[in-house]
Amino acid sequence: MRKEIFEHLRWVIENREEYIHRWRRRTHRPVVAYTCSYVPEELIWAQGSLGIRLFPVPPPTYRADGLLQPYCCLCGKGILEVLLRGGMDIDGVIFSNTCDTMQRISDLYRVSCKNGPWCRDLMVPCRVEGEVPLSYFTQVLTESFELEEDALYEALSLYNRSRELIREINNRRIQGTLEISAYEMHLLYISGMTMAPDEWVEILEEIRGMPGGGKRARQGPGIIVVGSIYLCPHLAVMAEDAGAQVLYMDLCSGMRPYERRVELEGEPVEEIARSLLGRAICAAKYRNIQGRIAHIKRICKDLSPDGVVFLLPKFCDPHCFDYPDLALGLEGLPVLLLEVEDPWRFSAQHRTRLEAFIEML
Amino acid sequence: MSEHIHVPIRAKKRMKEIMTHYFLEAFDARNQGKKVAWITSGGPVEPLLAMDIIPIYPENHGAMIGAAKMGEEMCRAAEEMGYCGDLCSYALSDIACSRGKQGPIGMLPPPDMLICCNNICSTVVKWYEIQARYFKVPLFVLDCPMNHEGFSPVVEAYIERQFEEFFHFLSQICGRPFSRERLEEVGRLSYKAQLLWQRVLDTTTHSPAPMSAFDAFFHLALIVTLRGREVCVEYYSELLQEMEERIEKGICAVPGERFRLLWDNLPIWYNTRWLSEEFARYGATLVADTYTSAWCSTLSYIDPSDFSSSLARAYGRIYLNLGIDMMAEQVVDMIRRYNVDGLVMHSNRSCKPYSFGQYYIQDVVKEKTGIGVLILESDMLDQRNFTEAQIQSRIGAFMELLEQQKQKRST
Repeated sequence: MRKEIFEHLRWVIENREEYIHRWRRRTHRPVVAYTCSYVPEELIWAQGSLGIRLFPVPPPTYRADGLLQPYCCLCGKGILEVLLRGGMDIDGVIFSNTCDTMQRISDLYRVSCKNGPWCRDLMVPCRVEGEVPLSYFTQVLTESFELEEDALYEALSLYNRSRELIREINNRRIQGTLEISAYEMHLLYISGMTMAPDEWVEILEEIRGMPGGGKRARQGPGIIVVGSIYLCPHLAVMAEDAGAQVLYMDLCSGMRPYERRVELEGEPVEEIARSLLGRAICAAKYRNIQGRIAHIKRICKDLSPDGVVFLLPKFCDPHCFDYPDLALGLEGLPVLLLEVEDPWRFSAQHRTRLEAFIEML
Repeated sequence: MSEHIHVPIRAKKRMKEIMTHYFLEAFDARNQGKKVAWITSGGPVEPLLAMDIIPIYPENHGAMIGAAKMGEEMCRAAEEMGYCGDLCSYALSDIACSRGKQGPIGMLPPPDMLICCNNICSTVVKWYEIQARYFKVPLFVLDCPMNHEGFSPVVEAYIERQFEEFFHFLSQICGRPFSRERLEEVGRLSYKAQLLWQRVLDTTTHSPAPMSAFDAFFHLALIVTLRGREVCVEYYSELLQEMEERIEKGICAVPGERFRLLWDNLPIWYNTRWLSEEFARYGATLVADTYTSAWCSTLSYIDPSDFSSSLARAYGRIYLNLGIDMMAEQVVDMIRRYNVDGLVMHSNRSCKPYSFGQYYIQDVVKEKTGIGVLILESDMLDQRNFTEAQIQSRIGAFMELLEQQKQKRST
């Protein structure tokens, strides 16, 4: 059973386009891609569409290379490339106001693909703390989505449930009461950004119900991984092969987007805005001057890792600016910095360095 | 006076005096009981002046570092602290300089507060966060969402509310109420200075141009740092008068002007003279640029009789905060207004929001105007990204193309 579940998730990830195509054919409902985890997928679902996270394609990115300079990150280029190729069975794209590169990717798509899927910019505030950004973002969301109350509450409950489940699975895995590898967690993270939420929740419920056995002590040194979008599963596999336990992945393609809950008591759109602005902070957002440092320190305090691996995407300004102070802020905790050019690749050099790092812990 | 003699601009001397005085005042701020705020180049300086706070522009300092050819050294120092060399070289050099690396004027006066407006880029938010942690001073972030397809009332209201927060922030730090009356006075002066700056820049619509974009890069300093002060209005009045005199007397920036060019993006600060001479060899004047004109590009949104209510509209819509199709339209307008023969685009590794989209703008310009476009890849501060021989040969080839286009037009 377990094997079939994870095989299915692997199939979904490796055949995203086919999965989306089949879902559309089966449900006759639209599919909307979004570029950033600050886009509220529950609102897309409440409107009757499936929201899927747009991932960059690996190089070569010939079409995007014609529109962007060589000093653009491969995440931005890969996202523009996948849209310019036009092979995805989607109806529209929602860009979000994040880093400078993504803002221009949005412009470039809009001016280059006038006959492609529709596009829209969701102007998420850069400031995520305080009443003024909250009220602004609530208004932006209200204007951007037309919603019916019943559908909205159903979507909120469904997505809340899915996030609760993945958090619980991750926590039990860390505590040693549920045997899930870091690779399997990777499959869960990515499939959750692709699959229809009702189907995904069913899978999560099944995983949650798996026999866990007794509580086991941590196997080998514990590490946490910090970075942006990283889609290659090899890091997790190799870290565990080298004897470490990957305790947490603070990645945009990891646990970060799932670290929120929408309260059902208040005004729903405002609660969604509050939940997004209050979630685990992204490097492209501003909460206060300690924003990301406080967030990573909190994770370290909760999980007591033996080391932290920073995956620094090449040409990613927000993460590159954060790194020196973040590393210093960890106050002596061993740190490994891996510069990643292609979010789909884990090089032999990375492997050697990771293994050496784990041995040292 | 013959147009074949190069005559330096007189006002340059006055500009140096004003800037020296400005920095001396800033260095002496503590003794005068004044506060110092570091602010981003697109940030709203008028509320600071209204509270008698001395604004300091690390980007302006960055330009000075570049002009002194110290950019590479500063960037290397920041890299040694763990910062990646691909980051904005203004930010890197400012971080290095703050940690003790001596710049052309030593170090900047330490800030009492930091004011960051992301209408020019998102980089400034990260940069100022780092500096706020280092100096342990409060940071105010004015968030101006990008206008991909227009300026929405929701965004305007958001920025307006943040201005109210900003006034409150200043009032708390200064320990006295924010003066709206004073803001209106400062605003009127700021508006007047921007109008004058626009008129100075527009003198280059005359052919031959009395000044070049390289001159504008230098004379820009006051409109960035001191708009809202009387001295700024006086200075640009003098400069305008001098430009008008130069036109009258036939004095031009490049003797024997044959080609008129438009520059896009920030200057390459460490090589402005070299570039100026290189273009001048072909009789080419950079008559205008998209950079210096940014400090008067929102004049139409400002109501000088009600300045405070215009702040959100003006600061929310500056050139770099627009979608690339709107930027392309402005470039095409400038090409027509300044009667330009060619566009030179600096693909600036340090400035992604300015540079990404240039290939699209290049296509629009070619399609709508038919003029030649040259793209030079470099960096505004870090000399390691400037390859002189390659740039020289690209300029040579570009000028040959413009020559051919000119001959074709004349036959």
